[in-house]
Amino acid sequence: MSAGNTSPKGYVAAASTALHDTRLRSALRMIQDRIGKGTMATWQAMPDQSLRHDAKAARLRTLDNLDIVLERLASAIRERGGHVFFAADAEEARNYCLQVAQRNNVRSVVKGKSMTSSEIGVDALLHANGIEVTETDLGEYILQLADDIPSHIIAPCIHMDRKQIAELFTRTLGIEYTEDPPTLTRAARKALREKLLNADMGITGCNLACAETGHIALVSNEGNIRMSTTMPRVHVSLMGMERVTATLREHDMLLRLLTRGAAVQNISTYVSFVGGPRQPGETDGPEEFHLVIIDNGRSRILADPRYREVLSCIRCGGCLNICPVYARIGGHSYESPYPGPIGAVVTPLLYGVNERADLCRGETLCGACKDICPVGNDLPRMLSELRHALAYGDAEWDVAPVSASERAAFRFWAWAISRRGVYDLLLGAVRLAQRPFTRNGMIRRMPFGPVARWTAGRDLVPVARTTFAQRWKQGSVPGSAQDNGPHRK
Amino acid sequence: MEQNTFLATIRSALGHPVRRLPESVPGLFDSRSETHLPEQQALLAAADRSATEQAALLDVLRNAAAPINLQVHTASSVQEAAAVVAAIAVETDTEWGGAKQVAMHDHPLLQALDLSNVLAPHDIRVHVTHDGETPEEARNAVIASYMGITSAEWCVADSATIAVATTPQQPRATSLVPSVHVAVIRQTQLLATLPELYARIALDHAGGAPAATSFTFISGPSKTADIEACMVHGAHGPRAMHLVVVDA
Repeated sequence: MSAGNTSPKGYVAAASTALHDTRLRSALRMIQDRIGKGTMATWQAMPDQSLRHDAKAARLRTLDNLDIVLERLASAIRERGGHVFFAADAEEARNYCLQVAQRNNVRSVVKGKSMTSSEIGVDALLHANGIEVTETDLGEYILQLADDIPSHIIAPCIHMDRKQIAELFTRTLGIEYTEDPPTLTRAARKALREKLLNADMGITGCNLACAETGHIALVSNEGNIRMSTTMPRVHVSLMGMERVTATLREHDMLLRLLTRGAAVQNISTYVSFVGGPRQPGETDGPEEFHLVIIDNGRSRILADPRYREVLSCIRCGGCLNICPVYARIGGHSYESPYPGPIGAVVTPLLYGVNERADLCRGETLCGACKDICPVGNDLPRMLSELRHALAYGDAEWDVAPVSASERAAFRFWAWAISRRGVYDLLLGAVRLAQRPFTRNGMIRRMPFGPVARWTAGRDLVPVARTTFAQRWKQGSVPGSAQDNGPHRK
Repeated sequence: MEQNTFLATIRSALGHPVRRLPESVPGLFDSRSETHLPEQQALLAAADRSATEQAALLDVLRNAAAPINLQVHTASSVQEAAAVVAAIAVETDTEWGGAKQVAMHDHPLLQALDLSNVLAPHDIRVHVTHDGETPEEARNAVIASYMGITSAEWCVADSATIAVATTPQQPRATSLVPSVHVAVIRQTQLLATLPELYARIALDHAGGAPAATSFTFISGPSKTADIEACMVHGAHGPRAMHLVVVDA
């Protein structure tokens, strides 16, 4: 595995490569078969069928009052001696982490899996300042050793098989070659235990904070997050500003949905509630606790009623486990900390709609992601909104219409199709032009012209010999006035 | 960024020109607000179970525990519970070498097990959390222990979850750093569902008892499925977990 995997090459090129990766395909099929189908079955079998609806309603209410909710959370944490920093953007957030590290003479950092940490790019900054950063989630650790990046929200190294991991561990950890997952896991356990017990600072994300009691909550199966928040002297939690519930009741509903949506689990092994640093008399836990609440483009999403609901997302990764597009192109193609259908909406909104235009157009709008979403986020609707913005422009989001030639083509089409004579003339011309390229009733490859990009990825149905209108007049269409076929009474 | 500026940005996104006080949205932070009180009271009432109903919960607990590799034991007396814990301690080997040592929370139910005496004949030392312990001593003790013993505030049957609060007597690492975690609870601590547990926490909180700064829900031993989705127990936390339910 080389660093080449991490350098962006664009959605279309990355997806094209991934389409030919049979190993990736079978890994994703396995995870979709197990988890995606399992989650859908869980939703159908759930005794409380209103849970998802109630959770969404609570989520939207909290978002509507986010200013008050965050103020309450911050003051509760400060009352227990914790620090809260509000970061407007990625730079402020990562600089704050560095300051905390430097003030505490931190030499080594252990990390719990956090997409927000990769969104703000904190690792590179710490590293550049001579601080050792170790990922401790097993999947993330494997990727760090391989100099690779995650391709799934909850199964980060799903694109690697045991052979690759075995070779990697033999090379980097110096263990004897084995493809046995328990033995490989033990090797990582041993190597990471040293790091976890001796690190100066732990950095984690935040799955869901709760303002009613003033805690952040962290969900994990491995225990690495508990280690990272228990053994080091300093704990920094990075929280996207929307990842908070107003009440315990809302927290309860969302936690149940999160673990079912993510892994068809009733609950994950560990749910840790952290409301501040070590308290008087306690002998473990961090001496300093910092919560970094991050905007970085979220307030802009909050302000737009078309996209606000996407902030209800609890990052379970459920939509990745059902999406037919993700199943074929894998997570790397999205070139974002947030892959899959949720990434196709959130990434353009966070990093620029024009810049990430391909993401908005790469989906089928089949609606499976909406069906599986624990909070019923209407991702297909939001993708359509984004495509509309790309077609017609959207000043609010600084979106320029993408293709002048496309717009011109559609304007011409609108003009031609409303003029019968022109339209027939056009059809005649196309019928002539397509003839040399049609084989067995399909245009398989067009070597040049505007259609070439279409046929690069799929076949094109040629224009029919006669139009429907002509066949109707000839009476060859069942049901037409002149039709005297046997099916007509 | 200044908190006020940050929150002002959010307010303007929401269309509120001026700072709003929490009182402007009644019940926003209260799980037990008027809207939800009947539901919360029903959850609390459900937790007042007869002995027969609690015994039924034990079956629910066993069913939930099996798939997550949590081993459930029952004991009809404190002495029997001590014998169960001792058997686990004797059978289990150390993972990282060294003499056998157990780290234990300072908790009345655990003290009643009298494990120091029960385990002494097996050459197993018991380190109990105690007043005046320095963080360094506590850290060394837990790293040197192959087994951690805790109790819990509550246990949820249908997800096989124990809830453990952090206090000076109950450090976080006891259920985390040793290779095996043994939790001992009384059968009366069983709740049916996660919502019942949350309702308990909400009640305590509303009653003015400050929620512990740190508390943890634990459901079985540490696990990972990051290599080809194969389930392996013992990623970074305990490799095995036992729950001893005392019916006395």
